[in-house]
Amino acid sequence: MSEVGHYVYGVVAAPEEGPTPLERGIDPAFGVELLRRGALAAITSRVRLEQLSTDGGDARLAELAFRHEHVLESFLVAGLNVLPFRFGTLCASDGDVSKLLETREAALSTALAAVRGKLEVGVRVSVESGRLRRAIVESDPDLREREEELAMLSPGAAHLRRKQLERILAERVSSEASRRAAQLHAELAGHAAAARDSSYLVPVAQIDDFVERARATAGELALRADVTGPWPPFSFAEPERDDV
Amino acid sequence: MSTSEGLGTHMSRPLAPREPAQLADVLERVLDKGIVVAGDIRVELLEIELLTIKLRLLIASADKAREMGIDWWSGDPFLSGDRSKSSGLEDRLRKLEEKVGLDGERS
Repeated sequence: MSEVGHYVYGVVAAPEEGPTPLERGIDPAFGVELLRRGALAAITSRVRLEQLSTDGGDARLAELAFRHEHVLESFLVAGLNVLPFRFGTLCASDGDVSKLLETREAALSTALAAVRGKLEVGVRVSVESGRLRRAIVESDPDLREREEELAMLSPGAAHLRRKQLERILAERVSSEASRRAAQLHAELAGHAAAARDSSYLVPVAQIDDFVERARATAGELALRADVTGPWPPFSFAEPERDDV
Repeated sequence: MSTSEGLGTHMSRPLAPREPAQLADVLERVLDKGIVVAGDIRVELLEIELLTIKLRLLIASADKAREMGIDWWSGDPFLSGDRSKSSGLEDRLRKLEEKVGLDGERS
């Protein structure tokens, strides 16, 4: 017979009417429930502990991570602010889940307030070196001149000069890529409620603008921005990690 | 709680055009993020091997747990949140990406 634990996905401010809960949680045998306690409600479901074993290897881990995210996302879609718990949070009973809400109510409420009305957007910057290289040459009269010179040299001389120029350009591309990525990050952080690593906490009503700005600004810098999300505010669940 | 607590009607819009999440994106977000709660709840420790570094069994108290010889989280950068040492996660992600055929183009 299998042991059953109570998996906790996260908390929401207790809604007047709960959204229709998912029929399958992290363990497909059990549905998702909303366990209310005062102003908060835990998103929880029962789980057979052997479902969490490592026997399935990394593919199993990936599946569990997907389900964890999927459950949280279903509450976002229902319009609720979600404070995600760390993947793998498990209690022995629903009494323990209630106790968790009671003893942590103040901290959880504060953390929930910090992400209220906001979601996480991920920005992954990539460098297309050919494009960045062209942008660098075009904006630098000296490099432009050197490149034009190549056409006027004999093939032998041009070959050496070209190698020299390529070396300079490779260094410039590398340093410019870092500099421009940092510039993009600073620009985007200025338009987000908070920024950590390459994740941004953005008010829901501004997400479309933010995504547009990320792509456009990256384009101006000859970079590419791939935007993911909006996500539950995974990276912003812990208020004290503010200055990362 | 009033409905103003919620995300409101804006929600249907930004979420609708979302592309299917990629494995790497989900793992990157899910595995080492989210608020950590631990310390005052008891769970039975079982004789099955759990997802050791991913699962946070909530133990009666940190002191109590140490008495019982359970302190595996304190030295584990993955659990204690020391991001500077979390390259184990990176390695793991990379392996997963290879396994499912994603190209891992994270910059």
